[in-house]
Amino acid sequence: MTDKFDLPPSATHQAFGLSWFFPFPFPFFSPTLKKMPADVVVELGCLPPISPDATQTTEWAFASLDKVHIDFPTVAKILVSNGNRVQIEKYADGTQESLSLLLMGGAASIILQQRGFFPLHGSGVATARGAVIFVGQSGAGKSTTLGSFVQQGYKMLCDDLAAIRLDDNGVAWLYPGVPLYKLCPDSAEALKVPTSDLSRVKAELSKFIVPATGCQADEALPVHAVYELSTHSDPELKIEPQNGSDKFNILLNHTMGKFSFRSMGLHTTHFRCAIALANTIRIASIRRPENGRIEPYQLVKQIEADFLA
Amino acid sequence: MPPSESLTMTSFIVRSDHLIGNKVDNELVMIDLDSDNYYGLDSIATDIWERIASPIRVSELCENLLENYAVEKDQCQQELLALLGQMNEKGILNVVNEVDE
Repeated sequence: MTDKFDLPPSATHQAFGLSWFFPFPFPFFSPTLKKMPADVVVELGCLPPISPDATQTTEWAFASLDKVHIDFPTVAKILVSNGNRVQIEKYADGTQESLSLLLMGGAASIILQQRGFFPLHGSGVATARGAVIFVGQSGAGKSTTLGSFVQQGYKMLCDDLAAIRLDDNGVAWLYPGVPLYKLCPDSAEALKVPTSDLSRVKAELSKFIVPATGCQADEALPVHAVYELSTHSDPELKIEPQNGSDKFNILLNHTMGKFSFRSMGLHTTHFRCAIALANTIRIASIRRPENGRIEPYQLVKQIEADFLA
Repeated sequence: MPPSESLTMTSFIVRSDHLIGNKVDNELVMIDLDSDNYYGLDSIATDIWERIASPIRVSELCENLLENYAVEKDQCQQELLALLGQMNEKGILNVVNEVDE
C-alpha cells in the first residue's frame, strides 16, 4: 500500500478550513462550493495491522509519529495518517450514525493535530469581536450556550470540535466546523427548539441533532475569547477572568486528543501553541447556578457584556 | 525521577535542563520533556526559577531574595526550602551537597 496520493480526488465536502473527499454520502459536512483537490481523502477498505512502534494513548487509540489507529468497538477501525488520509474498516454491526460521529469528532481532531492545528473541545460562535469559544466538562452546557446564542441571532462556528490555527503573525483563527449542534432534551425545551423532525444521537444521552445550515459563519474568525463553563451553588451567574498558568490549564484541559500529542512528536508544538493562545486571547470562567435555570436571553446578555467590554 | 540528594541551606542547586517554558502574563508555564508533566510557577517562583539557571548555594539564593522581597529571614528560608523541596521531588532540580572532608 502506498502512503501518498499522486493526484488527490476532487473534494466533495468542506469542514474545519479543509476540503474533504468522502466515497459515500456524508450529509453532516457542508458540500464544497468550488472544484478543488481534497486536502483529506476518506477511504473504505481493509486496514493494515497496528504498527509495532505505536503507543496506546487511550482505550481505543494507538499513536505513532504519522499515524493514529483508532479501534472503536462495534463501530469501526480507523487509521488517520499524515494529516491527509482517513482509512475506515467498518465492523459488521456498526451503524452509519456512530461512524459519522467518530469521523466528525475523533478522526477529524487527529487530522487537525497532524496538520498543526490546536483542536479544542468546545463550541464556537461568531461575534463582533471575533470567535468566542465555550469549553467545559461534558454536561457543563457548551451546546446549550451555543444554542442560546444562535437563538439570539448569532452565527455558530462549531460545536464540539473547535479547529484553531495560529497564522504566521501569531493570530489564532477559528475555522467553521460541522453545521450542526447537539442538544439534550431539556435544553431543546428551554430554547423552544422544535424537535419532532430532528434525529437523535443514541450514543450521547439521546441528544437531538439540530441542523445549523444557514446559521453558520462561513469564514474563519480570529479567536477573541475562551470561556470555561461550570456550575456553582450560588444563585447568580459569575464570570471571572483568568490569568497566568490558569489560562494555560484551561486550554490544556480542553485540548481534544491531548494524550496523542507526545507519541506524534507534537507535544512541544502543542505547548507553544497553548502558550501563544493564552497570551493573546481573553480566557474567563463562567459559573452558572447549579439549581435554577438562566433564561437563554439573560445568559447571552451577561456573556455579551463580558466579551464586548 | 527520584530526588537525588537531600536539600539544605548549604546545598548547591541548579534547575534541570529538560524543561521548556514560556511566560503567560507574569507566570512561567513549563513542560518537562522527559515526563510530559506540566508545571506552573507563580511570579515569585518564576523569579526563583530564573535565579537558579546557574548553580547557586541555597543560602546565597536566600540572601538575594531577602534583598528583593520584604520577608523575614526565617520565613524566607522555610518557604524557599519547601519550594525547592517540591521541585526536587518532581525531578526538575539538580542538588549537589558538598562532602565533608
